[in-house]
Amino acid sequence: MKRAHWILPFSAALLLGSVPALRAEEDAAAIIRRAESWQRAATSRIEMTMSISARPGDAKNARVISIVSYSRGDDDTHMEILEPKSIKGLRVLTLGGDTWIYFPSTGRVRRIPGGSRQESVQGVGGDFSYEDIGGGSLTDRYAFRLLSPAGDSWRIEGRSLQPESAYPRIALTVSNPDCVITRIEYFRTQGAAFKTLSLGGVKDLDGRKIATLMVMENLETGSRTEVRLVSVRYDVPLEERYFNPARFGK
Amino acid sequence: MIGSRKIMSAVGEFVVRFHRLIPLAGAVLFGLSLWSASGIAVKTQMKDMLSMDDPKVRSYQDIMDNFPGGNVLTLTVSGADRTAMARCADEIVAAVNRSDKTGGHIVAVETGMDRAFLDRWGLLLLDEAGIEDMGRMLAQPGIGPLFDALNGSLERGIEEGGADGISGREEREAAALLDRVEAALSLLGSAMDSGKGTDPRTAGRDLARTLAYGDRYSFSPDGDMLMFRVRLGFPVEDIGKTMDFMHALKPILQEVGARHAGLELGYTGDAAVNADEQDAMRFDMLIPTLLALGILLVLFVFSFRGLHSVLVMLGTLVAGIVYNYGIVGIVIGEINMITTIMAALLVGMGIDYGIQFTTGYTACREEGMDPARAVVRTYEMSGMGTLLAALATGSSFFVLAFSRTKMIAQFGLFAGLGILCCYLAMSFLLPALLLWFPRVGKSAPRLPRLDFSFLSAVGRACARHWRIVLAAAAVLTALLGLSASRIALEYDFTAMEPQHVTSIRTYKDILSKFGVSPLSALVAADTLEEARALAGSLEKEPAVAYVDSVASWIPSEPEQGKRLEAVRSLRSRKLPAARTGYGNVDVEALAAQIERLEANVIETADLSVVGLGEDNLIVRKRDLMIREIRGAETGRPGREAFRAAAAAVRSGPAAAAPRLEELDAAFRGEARTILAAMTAVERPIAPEDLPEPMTAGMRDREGRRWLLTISPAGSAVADAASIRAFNDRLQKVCPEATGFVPLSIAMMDELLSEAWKASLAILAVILLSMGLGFRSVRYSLLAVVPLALGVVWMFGLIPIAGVELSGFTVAMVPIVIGIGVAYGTYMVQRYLAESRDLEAVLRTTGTAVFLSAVTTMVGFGSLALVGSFRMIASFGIVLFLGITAAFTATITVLPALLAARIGGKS
Repeated sequence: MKRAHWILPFSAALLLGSVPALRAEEDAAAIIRRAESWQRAATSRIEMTMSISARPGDAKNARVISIVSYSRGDDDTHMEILEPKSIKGLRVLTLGGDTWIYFPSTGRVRRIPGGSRQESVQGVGGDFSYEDIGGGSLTDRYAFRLLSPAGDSWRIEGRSLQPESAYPRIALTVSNPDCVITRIEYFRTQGAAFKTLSLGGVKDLDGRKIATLMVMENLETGSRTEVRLVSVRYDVPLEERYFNPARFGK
Repeated sequence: MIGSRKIMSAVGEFVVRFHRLIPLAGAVLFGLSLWSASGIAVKTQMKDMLSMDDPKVRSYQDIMDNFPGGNVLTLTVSGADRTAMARCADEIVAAVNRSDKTGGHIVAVETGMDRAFLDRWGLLLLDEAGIEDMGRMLAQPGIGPLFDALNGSLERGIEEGGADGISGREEREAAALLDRVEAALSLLGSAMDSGKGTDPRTAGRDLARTLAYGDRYSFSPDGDMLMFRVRLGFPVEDIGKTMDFMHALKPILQEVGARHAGLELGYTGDAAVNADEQDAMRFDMLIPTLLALGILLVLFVFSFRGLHSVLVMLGTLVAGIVYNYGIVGIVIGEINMITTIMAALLVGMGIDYGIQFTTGYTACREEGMDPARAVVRTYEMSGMGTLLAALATGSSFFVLAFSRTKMIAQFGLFAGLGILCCYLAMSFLLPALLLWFPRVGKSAPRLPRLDFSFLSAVGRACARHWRIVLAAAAVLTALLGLSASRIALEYDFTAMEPQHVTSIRTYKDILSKFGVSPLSALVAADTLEEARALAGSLEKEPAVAYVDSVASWIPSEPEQGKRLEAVRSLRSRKLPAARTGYGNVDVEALAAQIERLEANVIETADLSVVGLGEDNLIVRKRDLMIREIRGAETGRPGREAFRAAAAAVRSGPAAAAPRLEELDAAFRGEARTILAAMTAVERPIAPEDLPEPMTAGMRDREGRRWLLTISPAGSAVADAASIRAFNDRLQKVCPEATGFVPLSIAMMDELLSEAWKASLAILAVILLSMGLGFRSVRYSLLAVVPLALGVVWMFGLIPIAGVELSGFTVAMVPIVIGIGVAYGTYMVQRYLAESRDLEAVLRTTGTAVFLSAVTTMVGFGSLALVGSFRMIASFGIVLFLGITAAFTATITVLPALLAARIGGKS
């Protein structure tokens, strides 16, 4: 059976769309670094829906999953599935590199070893790979360079620093002056982009510009995964049990 | 004008002179036509309706010609008892193989792999992890350790998972594993329950075989339907063999079914659907026509004076239609899905010429003319008009004969010839019969006559309130134009089939029970490597349920190398030692393993929801074998297979331990025998090692190429968008793929495109003839206004009537144009002939137009009412709506336009 811990910190990826204002002359790595610096919060609570379609526009046959996610710092996340009904209450706890799943159907907690970052989770978590949603800091993983100077936006290319990366090259579009990542294209060693991530519905939440809609499209298979933020709150008090492997399912 | 009158007078004299010879000649022609028509083939295959230039048609023909197993029939057995269902299927297989009429046509019956083959090669068909799992299970010394190993395997699956998405095949394999587990639990439960009297040794052996080999038949996740495939050795388009085979198969199924009360047998697949279509078409060719004739008889009896002329007219109409089929038998030689409705269409259209003649002839006779003089006079008065009308309608249909779509071209030729045949019959045979068999006596009719004066009243009212009528028409047109935007296109061919026939019911049952479409796509691979690569790519597609090909049985060389290594490793492994002297601890340990297994199955299914959705096969199977699970809550009760087995194990503490020991010993012996056989494999499997029935279904006659049979997932054929998306993906992976879905999409696209072109061509011919006839752009356009409004209204009414538009239905639009234009033309022509006296037009023309429209509506309406093909019923509805709309516009909007003096000052 396929892995379940695809629901790793979505919130981190979603927050990639939020950066403070930057001076145009700053270099590419600085732009990305500044962008990432905004995503950090002591705690957060994010409610979202994910819609997975085998092809664009096929909302009728899309699988819809609603999730509420609690995050603490950079590494600790607790997620609970709200929909569909058959797995309502299924929870995933990630503490650093370790993951636990709580199954409400059996009342059992299972510890899951960490997943390989370059593996795709297509079909399990939609079109998002582990690398897309929980790969850590972009500046740690890519060497960036500016492709075009600031106009309405920056075009930035990233070359992977990790040989095992699923994406040797990515291209980002960052709006200027909002400094919101609006698009990421994913490339293999050769050829055109095979996946694109579009970020939209930017809202000012708690002083942060947050992209509330993420659409990942696989251009090869035509499949599409849409993540929509329903509510976002930062620096909220979170119960300790959310991050306790012995109690997080209670 | 005088010249045409002389010509018609001469024709009339000719008919009077030869009024006995003409019916005799007609009778001979009738006999010859019946003989010729009896040889007409009914073609229902999509490829028969497409051009051979289409690469998908060529590809399909290539497969049908060169692969003896390309024609796939699917048989099903439904019931509650799996053992009974399997026994029934065994009997079906034996009976169809034994019968000369069916057995000789069967290339292969795919009921699962035989055990000898699995013993020798089974492990090479599993990947290394699978080999390890199988080895671990069969090596166990007993059921308790076996379930422990199974639990370990499931838990590793949950923890490790696979990186890629779950393919349709993997989903099915997971559901099949649960099937085996349930069967094993059932065997265990009955063996441990001393009250059931099952021999633990037999149960132990069966348990080992069940886990090693699985079911020979493919069962639905619900376990209430069994399915297997039969590959037939003749091409789908061989109608004769198809009909013979299916007519021989049906009694066999009935006979076997009668021996198995409570089981229901079904069949589907290209050949089965084809055979059912043939029967349905024969129904649709006859019954709607008879219904239309019956309705016309009643209508005419109350519209004309006397039954005599009505019966002669309807008899002549039948003769005209038979002549048409006789000529078609020589010229075309076949009937397709559209032309099958021709008889019913001709009843509506061909009768018009008879109405014209009978009305004129009756009037002349009532004026006191003798029959011969009345015939000549009728020719003089209306002969040329009727001829021109027939030529106009006929030529507009003949235009379609130039379509590049075979189906539409055949329709155009068929309809054009039909119009001419009916016209000739009504112009020569009808008057000759009226002369030879004149009405005896002059008694007044006893039946009341229908009064059509309301039509002129409606026309007068519309003319009087022309502003309101035109405004209302504009609003109605706008609203129906908006409604037309809601028209849904139907791409599901099976939705257009007769829904009551077994092949379509079984098709739908398989879709719902197995989540797979039995109407597969096909592609030929030139080499084994190509087959493997194509199968690999196709199985990654979410819309593909599974791919049957040689690739499933002959893994690649590197894969086989690794698997042989894994088998060698398994062979060299020391088997766990067996233990004796079982006690209650062993019994309790087994029960605990069963409970652990239940939790693992529940969690496995939970995780599958994320990747496959809630309605996946694993969840369905889980909910049935355990209970419906909704997070922490439970829904519908299930079979509680685990709890029942655990309860049986714990049921008799005293006897349980020795029974379990006996069971384990039998299991161990059988499992280790199977394991020894399976691990004896030393070399890779080659195509020559596959059993003959299997390769016969997958290899071409020359043994060089391989056939891939692609089964779409149920969701891939659920709606128009899904079908198109499946086809797009299929074409992207292998552009040469053909079969049911690719051909139906090609057919629909071609029909849609050609129908519009044909409509424009017909419209051009009509406008040209109007221009020549009226010598005025204004009057030509006025005559076309009711048609234009009628077409818009028709499209607006289609979604309101709940009809989904298919390419076939769109192909009917040219007919509406060809027929619907006549009503406006009659009115405008009469308007000019009556020196723009609208009152005179309404008084004289309304009834004729009404009868003409009603007869056509009756012809089309009969299709809508009793057409067994949903497609043909929808033809009837669309045509009925179109003609009704054009007629309504003619008697309401056209008088208003003429009253508004758009037609010139009166």
